[in-house]
Amino acid sequence: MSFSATETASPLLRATGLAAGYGLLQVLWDVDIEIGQGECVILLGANGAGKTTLLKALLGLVALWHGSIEFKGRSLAGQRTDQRVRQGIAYMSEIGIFPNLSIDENLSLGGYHLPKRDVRTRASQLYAMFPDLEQRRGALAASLSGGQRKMLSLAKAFMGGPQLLIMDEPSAGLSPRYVKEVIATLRQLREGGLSMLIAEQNLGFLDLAGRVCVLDSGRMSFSGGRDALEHDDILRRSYFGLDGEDDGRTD
Amino acid sequence: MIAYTLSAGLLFGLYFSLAALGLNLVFGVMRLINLAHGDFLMLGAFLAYGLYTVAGLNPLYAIPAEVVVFMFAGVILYYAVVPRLLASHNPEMLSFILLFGLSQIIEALAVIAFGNDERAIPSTIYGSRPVSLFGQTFPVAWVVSAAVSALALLAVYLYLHHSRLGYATRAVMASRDEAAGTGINVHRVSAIALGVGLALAATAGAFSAFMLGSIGPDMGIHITTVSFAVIVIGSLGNPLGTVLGGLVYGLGLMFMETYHPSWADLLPFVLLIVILLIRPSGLLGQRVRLA
Repeated sequence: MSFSATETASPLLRATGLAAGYGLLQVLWDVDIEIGQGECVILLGANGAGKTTLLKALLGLVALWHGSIEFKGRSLAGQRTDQRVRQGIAYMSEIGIFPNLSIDENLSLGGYHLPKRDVRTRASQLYAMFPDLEQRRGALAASLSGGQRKMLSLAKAFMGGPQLLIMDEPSAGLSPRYVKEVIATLRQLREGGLSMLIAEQNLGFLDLAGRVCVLDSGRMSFSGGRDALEHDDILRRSYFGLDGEDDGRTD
Repeated sequence: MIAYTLSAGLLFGLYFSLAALGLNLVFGVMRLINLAHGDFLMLGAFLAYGLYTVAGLNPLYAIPAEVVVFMFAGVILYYAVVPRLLASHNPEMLSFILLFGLSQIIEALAVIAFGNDERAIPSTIYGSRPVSLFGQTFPVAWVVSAAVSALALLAVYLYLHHSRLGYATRAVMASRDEAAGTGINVHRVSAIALGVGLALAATAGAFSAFMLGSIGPDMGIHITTVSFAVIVIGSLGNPLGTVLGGLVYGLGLMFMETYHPSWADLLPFVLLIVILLIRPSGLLGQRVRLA
């Protein structure tokens, strides 16, 4: 499956001055972020930095206090989450699946807004990409291993034919072997032109990055190329706890 | 005697499963306890009674009207109340207060409209000859009520497990945010679920005159309590667990009615406390965790 991307001057998604939180607790403070067509942006940040809140705010799952979000040049203000998804934004949360539904049912829901015939066609394409899932298509998603769950989560997210994939910690709970598999799959998709915003703490995902953003206590403290990040001594020490030449990248 | 008790328990179990199913469906989708659930059942009972007294209509044929009216009412109620409740800081507590108030209002309006008198639809509407079942004889009205309950339970199963709307409903039960992030309009799915929940309650209400003996404006609180016991026994948030809870309750009720009738009214409360103490997740609690 390919995801066509056209290089244009205007970004695919542009968020400006985002402020959001829960109850009286403000989590995001004046955050700006852009994702270009076909670009992969890795969002780094310590636990509690506000990565998940930022992703949820982009999706409309957390209400904005201030700020604006544009997707394909059009404002997303007032749009429900499902309407944003229908416009081409897919979301892969840390859980990413419905464990009480079968694999087939999960995939079917990924294309909920598509006609039934298109759902079948897309499901066949995705089963070809993820043959492990096809063998167990009638099984409950809860019965899958951690790695298989991630693959199902990816497949579910692709069912709707997204232009932008927003992922929350795809490496969470996975062994290093499965992390490598996930990264390899994402690399294929990026080469197909899919735009991605990936919130991660695993530095192995930096290999996918066209650009890296670092969120620190709800504020964007860095946005730039991977090289710039790796040569920023303050970030290396304060965020990654790294010294010297060896960057200690893990997978 | 045992055979009769078991058979009657099965019939009443199916009926109480239907009576409670809507409450569990609504809880599963919205995580709100609809304290007005029994009052909607009562309104369904009075709609069937009204159609019987005005047009001589058999409660069986009142079901389509019950479903249409209460589906519509559920959808309206959802959009009028629930999105604001869910957006509040403490939706559980607010929903308790609001739905308890709604319950009181419905009961008060029913008293004004229908008076305090108990009403009944004669079970002879289905003929005076009893039906033989498992070697025991029962009033036809009981068997019809149980058969309609079984069909309604089957319809809900097919809706949840063999339709895309049903998949979406189960997805919302698993995680509202995950469902929205998948592209599901969670408000639409939830509104339909509330409509289905009220329609199920109203359908049970249509047969309450036979299964509970009589109907009255104050029956709502008792039905809500029984329904709550049934879904806690089965498993909160798992609609299919309601069937198991209903059967356990129906059998328990029949055994109490047969051997200790003066204690029968205590049953829902005793079962509720015992289940909460020894297995708080209900008899099918594992499935809820998976959800």
